[in-house]
Amino acid sequence: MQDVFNKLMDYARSLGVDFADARMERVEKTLISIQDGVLKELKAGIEEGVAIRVLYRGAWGFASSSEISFESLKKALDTAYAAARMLSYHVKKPARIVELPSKTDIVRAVLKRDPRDVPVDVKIKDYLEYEKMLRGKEYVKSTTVYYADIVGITFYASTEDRYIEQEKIITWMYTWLTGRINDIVASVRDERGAIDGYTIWDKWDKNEIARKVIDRLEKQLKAKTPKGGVYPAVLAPEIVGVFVHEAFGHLAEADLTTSGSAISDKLGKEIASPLVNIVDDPTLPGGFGTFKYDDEGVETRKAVLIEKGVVKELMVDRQYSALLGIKPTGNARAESFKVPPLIRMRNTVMLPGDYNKEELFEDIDYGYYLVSFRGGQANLDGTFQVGVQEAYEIVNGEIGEPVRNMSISGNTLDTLKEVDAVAKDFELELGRCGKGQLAYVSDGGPHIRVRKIVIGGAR
Amino acid sequence: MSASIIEIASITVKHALSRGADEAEVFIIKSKNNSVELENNTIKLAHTTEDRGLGVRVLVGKKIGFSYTNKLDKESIEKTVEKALSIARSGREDPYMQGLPVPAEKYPRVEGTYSIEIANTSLDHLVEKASRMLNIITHDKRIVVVWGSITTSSWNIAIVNSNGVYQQDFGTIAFIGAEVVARENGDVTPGISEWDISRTSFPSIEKLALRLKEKAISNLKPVKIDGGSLPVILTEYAVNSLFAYTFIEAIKGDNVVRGRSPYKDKVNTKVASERITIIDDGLLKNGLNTSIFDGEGIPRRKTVIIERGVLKNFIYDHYWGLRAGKESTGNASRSDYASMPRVAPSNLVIAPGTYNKNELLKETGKGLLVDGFQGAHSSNPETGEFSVVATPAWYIENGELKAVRGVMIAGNLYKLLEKVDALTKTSRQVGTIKSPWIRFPNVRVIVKK
Repeated sequence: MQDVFNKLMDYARSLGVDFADARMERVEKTLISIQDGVLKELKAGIEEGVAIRVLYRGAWGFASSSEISFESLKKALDTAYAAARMLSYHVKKPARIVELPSKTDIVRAVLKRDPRDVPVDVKIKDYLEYEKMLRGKEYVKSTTVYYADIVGITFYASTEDRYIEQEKIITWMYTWLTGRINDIVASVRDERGAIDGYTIWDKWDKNEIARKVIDRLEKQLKAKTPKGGVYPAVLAPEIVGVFVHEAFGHLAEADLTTSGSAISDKLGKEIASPLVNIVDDPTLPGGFGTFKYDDEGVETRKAVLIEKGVVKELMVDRQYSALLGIKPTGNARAESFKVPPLIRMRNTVMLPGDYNKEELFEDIDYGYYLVSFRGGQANLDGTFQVGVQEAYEIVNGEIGEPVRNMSISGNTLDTLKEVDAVAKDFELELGRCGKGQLAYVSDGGPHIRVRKIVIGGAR
Repeated sequence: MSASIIEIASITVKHALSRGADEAEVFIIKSKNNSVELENNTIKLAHTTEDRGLGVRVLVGKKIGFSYTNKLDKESIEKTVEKALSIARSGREDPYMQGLPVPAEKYPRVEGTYSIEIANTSLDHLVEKASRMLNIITHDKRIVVVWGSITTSSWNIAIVNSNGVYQQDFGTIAFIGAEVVARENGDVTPGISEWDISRTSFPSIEKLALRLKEKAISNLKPVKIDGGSLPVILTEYAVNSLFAYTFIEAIKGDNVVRGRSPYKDKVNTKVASERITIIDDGLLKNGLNTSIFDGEGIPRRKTVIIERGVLKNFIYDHYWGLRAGKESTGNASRSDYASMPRVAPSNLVIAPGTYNKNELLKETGKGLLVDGFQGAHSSNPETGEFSVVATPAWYIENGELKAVRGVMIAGNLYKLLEKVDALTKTSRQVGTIKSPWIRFPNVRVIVKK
């Protein structure tokens, strides 16, 4: 691939472009879906193609090709170049990018067990066995289990003489369980994964996950609904993760910040309690967002988003790095070779503090303990909503009765100020994020306490 | 590659049978997109992408396998067929599997699904339109374009199976849309969006830009309101967002058969206000998802879901139709060549009412107008319960609109549908659902103090 790419980049330079890059991807996927004991879908396939970007006089052109011969690549580059040229007549603020030194690197995935070496029959057996465990209780009415492995290799080259090969392999599973007791119907989800191969069942026991999910469902069926209003709350790592990602993280993606997100004028300013430290860290072991180079061939590094309550930096791609004078963070990610990369998160987490988890509950006379979520979303203006699928009352400093059908909402900046205790523990969750394109990301943190949060629930 | 995609599909089906498949189905799509994207008040990027690929579904006895490729040369296709067969053989029997569909006797004629104007729009032209859209919107310095897109797509789809299904179709679509924020005196609106989609002509840039400006500016200067129980009007955007995770799930045949729909035992009973009539119309003129056939080659059609409040039918693909003891309603959907068909609505049309918008706002007295939701995907499809942030939203007072922020609404969509008391006479398709504005009386509104 390197030879073809060298020739292509020589050609790009001969056209007088500011910059050009090519990203070839080969992605092999296997998917298993099981519904109510029936193996419903079994899918395996390969896609391969190249994404080409050209920056010409401050304008970007993009094209993709599913053929990878030099001739096809040259044709795609011509298309991208023509698009950029056309656009260059209309661009008022020419785009500039950070250029990087020449480099060649090859990064292989470190695997305990390559999913390609595990026969599909074994995968089917494992997941059928797990799915069966979910159907033990009478109130469980319906089950859906997905398993997927995605084996990807990316070849990247740019007019800077960079050439990078990188393997990325993830395994992922998703559980959705619906139950009913009399008139009460409830559903719960569970999502997990790994980046070291077919290792989900080495990390977790099938019975244990099944028990946990069933237990969560039972509580959603039997619990009472919460009181709506404003209460203190303790947030478990999974909720902290979704909050940090959805409510804060998107605001700190430089494209959205610059467009006027709620932190657009807050760089260098204190927006959160001094106990709050939030980073987007591509080096955390085992995270879906752990990788060495992003999809613009940039070395990834930790982005310190909030340090002791102060907004420190944003997540950038090459262009926003140049625009804002922030050292490249390597946050550009593309869903596939069919689309250009966008600024996306990787592993976004709140860092642990000094408190023992137990201490967080002590001062709460009445409040809620939020353990697991079923979806969250935020707006640029900093309002957020998180649906909660496992939560408990806190009464006189003790965890009390479970509550069902709860959601939390509020303004991100107000909520970050209300964080008054951060525990020592830490957990990383693996999941997915949609911003027009799908990305596999991680998020997490410790247990934290928030003095005030809006609790909503359908009564 | 000189053969047409329907010929390739046909050859591939025969090849799969010769390699041991009992039944086989091949789906091929070839598409071309031109797109110009706006970001942060600039034209960010222009792109042209061509894509094509093939998905093959095989049955070996009652075992199913699916594989796909984006390479249409003989060797890649044959490998893909072998992959589908080999995983099918390592699979398990699906006791409910009754095979692939057979062709219909007649296929419908559809109107308004292809436009030479859209198919031939050059990238140059899109760049010019994008530039104009940006200029009009940002003429008002209070507004920043966060994101915008002007896109045209055209495609050719073919589907062939071993039972004689042999169909192809062509389509085009044009999309223009943007998300903006407005700011003034330290006040910033949430993201405000508008978009227009058409299969047959290029939507007007000017009209969209003006609507967007007006919406954004009207969302400045928020007022504080009290929570409680209020009438709430959902715009077509809000309806699409909330229904996607509740109502649509409830009418899908797979969810009905699996006992996951609250409507499962309610056919021919009243489930909504008699003002509500909802039809799945796969033949809707200029409909976003209108086509001759669905993802399995079964003719698209009209299916009445709710008629004057009474539940009539669900939507099915071939497999779930048979499991329900019925037949497919032509509702197998495929998002691309790499995905297996799944049950999904085509164009869900909510019949309009009698009000014009101003009348409706005036008559509402005090209430809430909601144009979008955050967290709609955390709703509970099995129960209809939701608890979401309404944004953007306006407080209605005697026909006047005043922006409100951070307001949550909570309730149960299925129960609310029983109480709908007004719909506007105009409706628009901004997603799967073509909807008027809908008013629900007495919705719980929660406001942070």
